[in-house]
Amino acid sequence: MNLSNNDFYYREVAELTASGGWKVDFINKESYLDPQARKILNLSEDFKPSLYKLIDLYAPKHRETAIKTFMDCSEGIPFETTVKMQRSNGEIFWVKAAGKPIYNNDNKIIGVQGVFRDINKEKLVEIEKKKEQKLLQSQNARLLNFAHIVSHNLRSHSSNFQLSLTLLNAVDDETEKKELMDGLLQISESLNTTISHLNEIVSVNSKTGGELKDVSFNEVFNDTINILSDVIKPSKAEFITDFTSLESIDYIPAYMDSIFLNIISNSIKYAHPDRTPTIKITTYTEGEDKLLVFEDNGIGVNLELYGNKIFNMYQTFHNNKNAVGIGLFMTRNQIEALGGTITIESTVDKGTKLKILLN
Amino acid sequence: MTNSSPIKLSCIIDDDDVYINLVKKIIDIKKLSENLLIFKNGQEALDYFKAIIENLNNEAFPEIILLDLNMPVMNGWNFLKEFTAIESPLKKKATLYIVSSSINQADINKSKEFSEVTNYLVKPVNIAEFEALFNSNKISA
Repeated sequence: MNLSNNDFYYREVAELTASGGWKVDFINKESYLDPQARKILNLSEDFKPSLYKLIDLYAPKHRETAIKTFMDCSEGIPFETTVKMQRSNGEIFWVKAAGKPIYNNDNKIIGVQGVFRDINKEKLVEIEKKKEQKLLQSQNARLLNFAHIVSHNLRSHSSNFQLSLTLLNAVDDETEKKELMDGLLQISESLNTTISHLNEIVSVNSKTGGELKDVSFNEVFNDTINILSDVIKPSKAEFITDFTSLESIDYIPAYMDSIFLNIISNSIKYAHPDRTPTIKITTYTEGEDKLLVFEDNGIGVNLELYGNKIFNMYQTFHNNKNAVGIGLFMTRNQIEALGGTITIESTVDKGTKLKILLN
Repeated sequence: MTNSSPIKLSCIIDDDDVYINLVKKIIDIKKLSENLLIFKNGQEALDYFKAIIENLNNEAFPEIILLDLNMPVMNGWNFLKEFTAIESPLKKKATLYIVSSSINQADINKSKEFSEVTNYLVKPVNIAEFEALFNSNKISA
């Protein structure tokens, strides 16, 4: 096989695998990019690469790592890594890059050379897969929790029914019989409440809450304040809101209403007795992520004790008579049904921060 | 059994008001225990036990403890952990039962890790079972 043939195969392989080559020559202080590399990076043929310009070919957030990897390589450490680069039109994409030092006959490093391959499509698929996997895991965990709820809560009602009925057979006293009958009514009411909670959750998970609409955070906030005015006024709660970075989002309006309602009413329910409740609500974007954050100065919750249970159903952590343990569970279901996540940070006696990644 | 002395003091740790009322009635009707302590969660019960152990108040220590698992503030597991960590000669007196509506095998297995747990009962516990449980703990005359 002669050289020109060899060249042909290399070119074809490079084209087929979208792989570009590069080289930095320390002796002549020159940098090279082969045609395929220029094509991938969308650079013209007359683009003259230099060490400084090469750095600009990496995505801003990855430049520091790229420099370090290059420096290490120029001291003799070969590399193989996945990194984000930037095309001349500003488009950021994933590549798999490998590089090795070039040695002269005296075993001295006189340069660095390597190849990189555009793996953007594969990488995006992989990221998407990971996201879906996480979502599936969380859905599974939710289903398991749901199954436990169905088993536990329906069982406790039915067990109370059974016990009441056997007692009813065992007592003769009319007043006691009457008391037991009243008890049966109470059990039947709690059973109904449980079933309506379960129904709500099923409907959330089948996304029957309605169509996505442009939802304004400020409007939802104002509506929530109005709805909760009876509890907010006596609490003297103060609100600090900032929706300037992200004013609205495509969401199921009923879900957003419910998220605000649940979290704000929780903050008031669990306000610290020694201070005025202050509730801070902000929205912002982080890359492509849209975030909504609620922060309060309430009594907080011990996450070491309750961490993994906080968003489960019928988990109540404070001795509060009004607590039914459905609010945060519902909130999590609504957020996750639309592909988002919710995380909590909390310090006892300091307050709680709920961070919601919307989608 | 009629010759044996009845249970003087027993204890329920459970957050279900309806259930508590029913058990109270059964104990009343069947005269299973002279007195009954009721705690709505593990923390309330733990505070009580710590106090009477500190005061070496033998009389105030129940002979039977019926412990629920799923409760607010402190659940049954955390109560067990804290309770079993207390060293006291008084403690030996109590027979502890878990009474829960959880049929989760993981819960049943976990209960076996605590030597203090005499048995795991799944709700509903019927009247005959309650009678048997209390009678088996009577001190024979």
